Amino acid sequence: MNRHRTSCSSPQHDLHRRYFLQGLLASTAAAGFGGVGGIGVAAEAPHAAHLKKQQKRALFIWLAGGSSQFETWDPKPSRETGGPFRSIPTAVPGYHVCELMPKLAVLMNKIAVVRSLNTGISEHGQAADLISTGRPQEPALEYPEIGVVLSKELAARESQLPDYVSFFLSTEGRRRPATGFLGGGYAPMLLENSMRPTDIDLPQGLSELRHKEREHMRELLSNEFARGRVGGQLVSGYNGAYAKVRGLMRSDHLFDIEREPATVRDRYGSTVFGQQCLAARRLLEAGVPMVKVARGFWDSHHDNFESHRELVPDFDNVLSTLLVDLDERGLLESTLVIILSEFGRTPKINKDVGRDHFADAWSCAFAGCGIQGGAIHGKTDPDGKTVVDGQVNASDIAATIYKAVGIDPHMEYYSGLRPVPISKEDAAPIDEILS
Amino acid sequence: MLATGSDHAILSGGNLRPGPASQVVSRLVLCRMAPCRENYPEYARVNSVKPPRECLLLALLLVWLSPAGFARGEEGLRAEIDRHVEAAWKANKVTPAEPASDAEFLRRLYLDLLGTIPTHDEAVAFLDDSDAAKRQQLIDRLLDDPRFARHQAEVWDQVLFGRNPPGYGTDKREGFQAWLQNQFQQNTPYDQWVKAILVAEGNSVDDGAPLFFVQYKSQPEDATEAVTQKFLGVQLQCARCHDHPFESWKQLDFYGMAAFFARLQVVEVGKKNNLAMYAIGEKNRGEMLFTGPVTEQEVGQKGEPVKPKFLHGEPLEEPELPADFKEDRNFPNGKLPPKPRFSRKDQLAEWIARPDNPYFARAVANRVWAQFLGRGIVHPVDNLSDSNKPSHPELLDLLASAMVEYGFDLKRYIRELVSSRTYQLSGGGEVEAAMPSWFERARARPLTAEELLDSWRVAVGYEGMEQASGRRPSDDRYAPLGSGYLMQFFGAPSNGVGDFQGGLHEHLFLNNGGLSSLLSTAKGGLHDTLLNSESPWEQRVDRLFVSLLSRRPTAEEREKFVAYLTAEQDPQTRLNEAIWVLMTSSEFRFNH
Repeated sequence: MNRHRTSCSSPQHDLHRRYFLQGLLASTAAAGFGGVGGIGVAAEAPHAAHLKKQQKRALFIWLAGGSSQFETWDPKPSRETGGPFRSIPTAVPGYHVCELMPKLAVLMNKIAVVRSLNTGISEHGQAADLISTGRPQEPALEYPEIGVVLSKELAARESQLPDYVSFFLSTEGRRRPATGFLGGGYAPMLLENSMRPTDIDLPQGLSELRHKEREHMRELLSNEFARGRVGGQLVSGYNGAYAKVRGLMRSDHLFDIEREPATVRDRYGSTVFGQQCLAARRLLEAGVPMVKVARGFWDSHHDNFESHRELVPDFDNVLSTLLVDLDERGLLESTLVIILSEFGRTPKINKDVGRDHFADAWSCAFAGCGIQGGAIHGKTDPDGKTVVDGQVNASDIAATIYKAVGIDPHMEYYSGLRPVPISKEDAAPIDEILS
Repeated sequence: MLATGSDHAILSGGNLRPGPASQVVSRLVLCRMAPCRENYPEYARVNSVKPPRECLLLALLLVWLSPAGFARGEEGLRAEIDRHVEAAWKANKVTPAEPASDAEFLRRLYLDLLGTIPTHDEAVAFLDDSDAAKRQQLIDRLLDDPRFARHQAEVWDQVLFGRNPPGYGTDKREGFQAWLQNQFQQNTPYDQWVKAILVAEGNSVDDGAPLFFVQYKSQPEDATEAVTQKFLGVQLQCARCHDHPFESWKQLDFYGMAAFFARLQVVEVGKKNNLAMYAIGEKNRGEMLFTGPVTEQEVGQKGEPVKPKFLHGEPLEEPELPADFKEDRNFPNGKLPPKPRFSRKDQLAEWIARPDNPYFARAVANRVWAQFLGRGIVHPVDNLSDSNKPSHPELLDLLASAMVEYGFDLKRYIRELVSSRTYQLSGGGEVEAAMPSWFERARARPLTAEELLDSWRVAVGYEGMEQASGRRPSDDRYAPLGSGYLMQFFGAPSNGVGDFQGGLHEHLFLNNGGLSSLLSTAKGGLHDTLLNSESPWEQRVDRLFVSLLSRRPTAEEREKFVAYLTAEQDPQTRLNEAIWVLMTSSEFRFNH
């Protein structure tokens, strides 16, 4: 913990005074009435523009329910806590993973692993909030999910594609990314019922021409309203959204994985997770900066080993295929792949041969943009009960993610007058896994 | 660290819970809060500004000294408001907008007071009324409309719970909402219904009010933050972990307040219509234990009990418990918990809602002002502090003392706000800011999900369609679109702030999605009325505009729409499109 402490009194804050002052000015334009007061987001950091030029992207793979670190990244074979599986060597000398991940083992020089997460909360909802926002919940302010922040920062201007597409068909992953104080304008495009977005087809009985003509009429009226009106920008921003609607209606092919060659589809496999990851790759490739794929059913209170025997090989296959695919297309360098859960699973194997929720010592992994492939950070004791080296918390993970794609983890948004750093002030990126 | 009901509550100055050492270390929290900036010397200087308490006391003194209550002209508070606002325009060389047109005023007032636009007939009646006092008459009529109570209750429900309350079933709160609506229906003074929320008697389904504390079950610190922020307009979060770097809040101020909540327990006392009924119990023992700044805490440190102390006020005098007093650790479920021998919570409720509380009247006066004028005089409204100064300090003093003088009668206060010339300014003008700082023109704010739905329903004559169909009207608040849809696309906080643009989903929904249930051609609705009208198209376009935008079209608009509607043999499709155009226009989406 002492490894990277920056407190309120850190000189970090001084660096941001300029943004803070900008925010003061900008916030005079912001107002509201509500539990948390008016939330104005202002003062974009100058480097964001630079970032946008480089077209960085991120893919958030969320293993909902809590995957077991023992059966993936931190095996403890032949210990009482270790379970029946063996461990296998990887491309990184000295580092072993669970035998259920042979394909990823070969690719370990592309992947960084953090084995030393201690995040405290082991209840699904609260833990998911903590990990996905990188912050403890707070009654005074709702924070945005990490993916929402990434989509805002990595978005390309004038893009006619959504900035964030989130797949979550499975029951356990069914948590919509919170936009928090950033507001509904940053809500991701949610794919909850099918791989294809809803409402991107022409309404029944309306021709292409009529669709455009009525919009033309609407635009005339709305522009008249926006002209010389308080909050003109606000209103014209609202009017401008039709371009994005049309853009998306034209891009429906991006969601159609049938357009991929059969060989590629076969490699990703036939599971929903595989298909979503393939669709994710299509979207990332087309310029969508942020995609999330949630894979559920990891909550193995019963028959942990049976369920991991089923889940991990699919995960191994899909993720390794994806990483190779991204790499071959030259996209891996600019795409951060994040593999996270809300927590890990207990060392103790319970009476139902399951593992329960465990947040004291668990693992996550990263690959791609900004990541030092092959870096293994942190260590647990021989039984995997405690972190013995390199302990990190949820805020550190968030800061690491931001830094990996070149966003200053301490840059600030504004909620009214209040500067809100995008990661918690005591958070520090895990530099050991960053390139 | 749930101090609730336990004699052995652990610490804390921060985010710690009792647990194994390894866990405690990992959760050491330096500062939970974003705005800490101990390094800003300019803030330290601001600290010497006179605290709001003194200002208010001074204002109160003025009230008492004046023979006729408040020293104010015949015209009342509204004129005082205008005087202060105009003085600030002068001082800052700001040119105000023109007064709002009747149509502008009409739509704004309906949306602000009732949360919906007027019907076609209501709008025509007002627009064509030649009585010089018609605005005042409209204000009086709407303040007594049952929809006023419903809308204001929805506004305050969002203040108290928000779209995503912390949990424990508080996303389903019909009991609370009905209770709150009833308070506005009866025009119960604000201080009284706030006191009822804080005293929390009865259960959360039949009595409603106790549900507020259920959100903060076993979290006295969270309750402290929420209560001080919502009712006192003060942000104490920083002081949870350390003395506030630039406000006068000390960590002990936080824990002194938290001590009032330390003994609360949420008890499930039954079920009704599938809703859990909660009561708020209070133990006779249990203390907040304080260990000092979080950064200096040590593992296993036990901490000193902190006595309840009112914010910037006196410690609470408490009677001693008899030495042999015994009490169970937890209240049993299923039974209304007994009152404690001495209730800290009731003492706090009493103190918070007192007219001479330095924050209470000021916070609500400012919050309601922001509701109607677009931004707080102190903004954001929940951050009254030395470093966040009011734009119009004297006006805020005046409003706070008027709130006290009115006995916290919100309806009377709102009547004055909306009767002012300031409120009745136009929103037009070459300015980009959505929320003008000097109140020199009306603000533009997006409608909430509820306002949007209600307004759409009124505009297309949904009720008329339901009646004509002979079906029993749905009792779903969100019919016919459904709450899932509405909350997903329109429910996110959108308080009219700079970045608002509506999510992509919103626009897809508007263009291609499920609006069709409102765009119905059914008998009794707007479409049917216009299609089957014998009137010339010019008049029908007038009706279309008044129904949706509460105004008549300009000559140019009339001409364009008539041309659009008569371009083809069959006007039905084009009529549908014209209604869609107005329903989805920016002019409809915003309150301006």
